[in-house]
Amino acid sequence: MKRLSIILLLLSAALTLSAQNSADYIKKMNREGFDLFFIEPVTLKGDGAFEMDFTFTHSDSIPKEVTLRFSVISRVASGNLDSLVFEQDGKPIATIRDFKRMYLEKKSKKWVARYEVQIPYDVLRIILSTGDDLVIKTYDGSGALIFDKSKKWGKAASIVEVILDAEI
Amino acid sequence: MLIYYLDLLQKVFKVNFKKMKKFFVAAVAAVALTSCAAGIAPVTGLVYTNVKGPIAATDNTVGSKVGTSSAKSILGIIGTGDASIDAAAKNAGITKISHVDYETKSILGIVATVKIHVYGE
Repeated sequence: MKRLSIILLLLSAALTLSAQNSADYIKKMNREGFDLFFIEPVTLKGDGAFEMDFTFTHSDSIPKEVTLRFSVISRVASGNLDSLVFEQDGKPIATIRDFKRMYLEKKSKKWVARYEVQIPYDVLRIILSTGDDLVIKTYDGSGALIFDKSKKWGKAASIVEVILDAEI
Repeated sequence: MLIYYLDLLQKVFKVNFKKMKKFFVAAVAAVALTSCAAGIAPVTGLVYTNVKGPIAATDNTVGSKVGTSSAKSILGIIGTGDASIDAAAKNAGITKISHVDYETKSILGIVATVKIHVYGE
């Protein structure tokens, strides 16, 4: 009984200490003449995994563009994506095209394709507003990959929204 | 063979290995715990670790790109990932690195993650 209570005490201490900080989701770094914002990578799962992060700079006015970098990790090579669609409640909220492929490589049994694209800041805010309901679809010539499960996205999006509301 | 040597040790040093069972269990546990999940960290906590620190800085100007890479360890038994500077730089298309930081997290030595942040242009 005593051992069990010690284990429970340690577990609760670890869980309390590991409560997430906002820096786990978004980092703001002061640079000469601007602030650099980095929204940490978040992974959505489904037909493989989709990992995305956002970077943008901010000085006085609202940023115009945000750099979205994302990786599509799947058993089929997604080296030639046509479009990336963000959906909420089955309705598309943002469609993105004209990516620049950064690399395509095979790791173990899966293919990793990484892309980079500039998106308007407003689109980032729309994506963040989806919370847990976000579904991402990638399209290429052979069909679509769907990514709709994420443990972190809902919480990350809500925290990032609060920070951006205050900072931008 | 092992039993023969244990018998010999018992006779020579008059040691009762049955009574030393707890000692052996403690020794095995100590050896196992030294290989618990852990990452880069100047300071560590047995229960919880969340440490950030620098790895490198260069003369290059601070840019507007950030790249990350990470690796994970479970119980110090399974370790996966690529937490290299090269991988982080590649993920953001960084060719001129200004500085590199790390972030280590560990919970009860069960799960540990190391994340590398590379900044540059």
